[in-house]
Formats: sequence, structure tokens, C-alpha cells
Amino acid sequence: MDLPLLVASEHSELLDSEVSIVLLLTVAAAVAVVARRIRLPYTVALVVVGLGLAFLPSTFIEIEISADLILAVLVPPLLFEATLHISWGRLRRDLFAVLLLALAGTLIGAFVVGGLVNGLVDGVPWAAAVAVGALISATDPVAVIAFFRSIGVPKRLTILVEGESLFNDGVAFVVFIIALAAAGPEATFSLGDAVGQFIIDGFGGLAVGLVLGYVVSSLILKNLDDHLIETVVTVALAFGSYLLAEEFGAIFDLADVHLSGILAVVAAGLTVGNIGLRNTSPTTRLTLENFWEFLAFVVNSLVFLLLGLRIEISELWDRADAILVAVVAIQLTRLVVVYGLGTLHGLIQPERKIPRSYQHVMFWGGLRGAISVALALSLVAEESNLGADVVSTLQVMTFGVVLFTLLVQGLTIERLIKRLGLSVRVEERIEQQRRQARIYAQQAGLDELDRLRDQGVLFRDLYESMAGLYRGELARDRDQLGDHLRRYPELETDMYIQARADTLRAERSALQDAARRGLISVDVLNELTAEINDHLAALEFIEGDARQGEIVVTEEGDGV
Amino acid sequence: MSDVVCAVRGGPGSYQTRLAALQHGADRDVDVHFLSVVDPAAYEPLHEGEQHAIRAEMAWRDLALARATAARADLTDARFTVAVRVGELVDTVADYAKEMSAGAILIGSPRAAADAALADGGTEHFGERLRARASVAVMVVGTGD
Repeated sequence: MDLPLLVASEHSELLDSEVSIVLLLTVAAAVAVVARRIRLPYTVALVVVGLGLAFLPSTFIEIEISADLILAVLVPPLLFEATLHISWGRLRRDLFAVLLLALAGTLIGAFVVGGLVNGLVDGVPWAAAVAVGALISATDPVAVIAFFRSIGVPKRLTILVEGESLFNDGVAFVVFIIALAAAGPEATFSLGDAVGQFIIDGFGGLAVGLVLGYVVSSLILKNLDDHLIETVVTVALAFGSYLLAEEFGAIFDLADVHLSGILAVVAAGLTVGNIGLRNTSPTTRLTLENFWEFLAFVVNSLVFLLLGLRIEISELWDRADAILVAVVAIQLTRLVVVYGLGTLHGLIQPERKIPRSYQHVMFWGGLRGAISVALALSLVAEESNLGADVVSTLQVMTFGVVLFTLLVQGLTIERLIKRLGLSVRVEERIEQQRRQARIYAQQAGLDELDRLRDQGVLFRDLYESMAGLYRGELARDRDQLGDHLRRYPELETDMYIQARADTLRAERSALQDAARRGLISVDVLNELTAEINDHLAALEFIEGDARQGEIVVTEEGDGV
Repeated sequence: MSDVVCAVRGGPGSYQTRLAALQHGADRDVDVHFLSVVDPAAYEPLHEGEQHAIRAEMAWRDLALARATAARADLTDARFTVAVRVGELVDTVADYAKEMSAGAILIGSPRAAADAALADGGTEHFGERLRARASVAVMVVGTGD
């Protein structure tokens, strides 16, 4: 495109790309504003606007999309941010269910969808069909989790959905790579080799991420107290773990070894989220959370908008038959995976049986999003063994599936959750927080008045007058909070958990302060901090347990 | 009059269950024994420090919330204890009732009061199993809307 502000000699591909990125970010920001105003999930709005971008002239936004750009630059931050918030304490209680759904579910999805696509869509060879089956089997929880947060659902359901999604991203990517390697005209395929590669890829990738994540968490995040440097280190970790795993063979001269970069990022993020963030200061934690939230927002936006640029809208219509096959295939597969594997899991682990109502949400909430789109975009005809027609068909099918799940399932999942009675009283909870926040702020104001009086800055009579007003407001708000809790007594447990967690964190800060002042040794600090961390983990355990519901029996099982 | 055992989880609805138990105890001048049961499948893989912390935090929570409930309902004379046990739900509640020589077990149901009353009539298999195993009356408090 023309850049009137720049002289011709200054034109470069880099500047053109920069202008394109600025335009895309501007569009993303505008979409976010509108989506918030009309209460539409952001990813749903993005996918619609991404479609609209397809109408723009091809020269308007120029970004060269390569597999490396998508996989090495855009995918790691998406996964790293998603894993940061997952509590290992909660995840491990349902790890078996999560791994069963992610591993067996994705494999079933890849082969069943692949078989249907291969049989029903012209021109898609078997291996390429399995590749598309794998990439559209990877669920993306972003849109669903946004709903979960807004209407409030049991934490266990959130963990099941998020956990399955994270691990099936990794599994889908490994299957995708193996299938693509087998898709070339001269490629040979051996089941034994593929299984071996799958195991080495998966476990090797996890090991790389765990080791790097642990080193960063225990050496740097624990010992350094500089939020900027610590943020930079996590950025290096997210991209570095991906690169080290992907380039492991080349770096260590093991030509045949390839490890999963995606699983390395997942493991690194889980380690930092569960070990590193526990050992950092509140400032660093806040900085890290804000930074990664921002980066994930930017990347999510770019992925959807880039897809819009890649796909011609007429292609969607021309390949409606292929999209229909893919949509039906993923629904059938999801049905088998969620209810079939859910039932199998209940037989193996009856005490952790997934309630039927959760299974309904997991089935209909199995949306596809940025990772499927990113993997599809990474298919570049010149770089893959596939022809341009096959690449185009696979991308159009993926986008069609993502579009369907986001627009149809994404816009109806909220109603389903409410109908199943899985939403909790979010409005009442927000009202409780609002009243608590007022009290908290007024108390801070009163403390400041005391300080001003003590320093002699404020005349006593003026202090008495102002403090009297503050105390009156505080008393009124405390009464209102009391009324609110009497009306909705179930909110009290949340309030208790929050207060108890705050007091434990205050105890931990006091210990760190005591160690800094030399009152206690580092050994004592570590011992007592570990004890408090156990209690904080216990609170998460208890909270997750309580959210499963009160007592007794439903058709899904027992529970106090 | 014998004591009552009240099994709680701490989730939505536990307030009504706790309140009903305290009211029951105060009306009949008997002790209420609140019991939290931890699922061993989730608990046993944890290390000793975490297991200890879970038991301690559950006891803290049950004690704090029971005291608050009693104070709010003006049942300050109600007598209660809290306990945390690990084990299979029905067996653990029944064994604890026996240990406390309780004459009744009180549990909450996420269903509304009317449904819960029906459930008490025998349609709920958990209540039935508990009743059969513990050989004492099982009362179900409806905690739904």
C-alpha cells in the first residue's frame, strides 16, 4: 500500500508489515469495544470481522503468513497465557479424565473426522484428512470460559474444559505433524514409527517445558524481585521452550528426534503458574498477569484477522459441502468422545464421575478457535507436501467449523448452562463485592484521616467532623452488607474463603518481612512458607470440592 | 434425646443445612456434630503437608461458619463440634454417627424443600443407603430455591 508520509526510498517490506499490523490492531481494538457494548463474545465478533476483511483489496494489508510465523510466534503466547491460570491442585484431581479426553478424544477425533472427510470430500487424501481431523478436534475454551466467568459455573467444570483443551492442543499438534509428514507423494507410513514418534514428541516436549519452567520458577522468579526482568524472563521461557523442543534434534545432533514445542509451552506455563507465581511479589504477579493477558489478546486478534485475510468468502460458499461434512463429523465425534469416554471414565474412577450435566456443557461447549485456526494457517502450500487445492480445502473447512462452533454453539451455550442449573448467582456475588469494596475503601480513607491527624496536619475538630461522617457511612454500608448476606447466605462461604486466603497471604508476607529484617533464618522462612502454601492449596481444594454442590444425590452420583 | 450428625460440604446451600442442624440441636437440647468428608481418591495422592492442611482448613471453615450461623440466628446456646474424616461417603458418615451415638443424620439436598421432603420418603438412593447403613433416621434439608 502507499505510504504518503514516507519517501519512496524508505519503503520496505518491514514498514509495510508494520503498517499492516497497526491496522489489524486498530481493527481488533474497535471490535473489542463494539463486542463489549453489544455483549457479544470477543472471539465471536473477531471471526465475523475476520470474514469482513476478506472483502478488502489484497494489497490493503500485507503480511506474509508462514508456518513459522504462526507456530513459533503466535502459538506460544496463546498457550502460555492459558496455562498460567490453571491450578495444578485442581487439575490433578481430574487429571485422568482430562488426559483421557485429550489423548483418546483427540485421536478418535482425528481418525473419525479424517475418515469421514477422506470418504466424503473429493480430493483430500487420507493423511491430509487425518491432519485436518486433528486440528479441528482441538477445542478452544476462550469463548466458553468467558461465559463461565460471566455467569459463574462450578470450578471443576472450568478445570475440565480448560484442562482438556490445553492437552488436546498438544496432542492435536503432534498428530497433525505426523499426518502431514505422511501426506507427501513419496512419504511412507509405519504405525510403529508413528506411535514411537508420538510418545517421544509428547513426553519429550513435556519434559523440556517442565525442566525450563522449573529452572525459571525456582531460580529466577523466586530469587529476583524485579517485575520487569521477571516478565522478560517469562517471555524468553514461553518462546524458548517452544524453540528448544522443536529444534532439540538439531541442537543436540539427533537428526531423527523432534519434540513437541506446544506441549513444552504447556508444561512451562503450568510450572510458572503453579510454582513461579507463588514465589513472586504481588507487583510481579500483577505485572505478569496483565502482560500475558495483553499479549494473548493481541495474538488472538491477529490469528482471527489473519485468517479472514487468507480466506475468500466465496470459498466458504463454494466448499459448503466440505464444511458441512466437517461440522457433522466433529459433532458426531464429540458426542462419542464426551459421552462415551465420560461413561468409561465413570466406570474406571466412579468417585470422580463427571456429572451428566457437565458432559452436556462439555459437548456443546466444545468450541474451536485460535489454535485450530493457527494450525490451519500454518499450512502453506509451498512449505507442505500438499497441493494448493488441498491446503485451501483444509483451511476453508477449518474456518467453517470454527465459524459454526463460535456462532451457533458459542451463542447458545449460556442458555444451556442456565437451563442445566449450573450457573450461580453472579449478580448477587458482584453486589457483595461492591459493598465490600466500599467498606474497604472507606476504611482506608478513615486510616488516612488518622494519619493526617497524628502528623498534626489536620485540626482535631475538623478531624472529628470528617471521621464522624466516615464512620456513619461505614456503619451504613456494613449494615447493608449484613442484610445482603442474610438474604443470600450462600455467599458467606465465598467470603470466608477469600478472607482466609487473604489472611494466609498476609502471614506469608509477614514471614518474608521477618526474614528480610534478619529475625528468622532462610531455612525457617522456607519451612513456614511451604506450610502456608500448603494451606493456600488446601483452600483451593476445599473451594473446588464445595463448588460441586451441596450434599446428596442426583442421578449422577452422591456427594456431601 | 440423642445427638445429631450433620454432613456438610460448604457449597451453596450449606448455610440452610447448618442452620437447620443448629435449630434442631437447640430445639431438642442435643449436640450437633458437623462432619466434612474428604474423598480419599483426591486426598491420598497428596503429600502429608497438604493432607494435614486440608483437614486443618476444613475444620477452620466449619467452625467459623457454624459460629457465624449460630450468632446470626441467635442460637448462641447451640452446642456443636466439627470433625473432618477421609473415606467413602456413606460409610464414613454412618460410622461417625455410630461413634457419636447420634440418633439422626442431617444432610442437605440441592433440590427445593418440597422435593427434598419427597426425597426423604425414600426416592433418593443416597439417603436410602445411608439410612440402611447407619440404622438411624436420615433427615434431608431442601436447600434449592
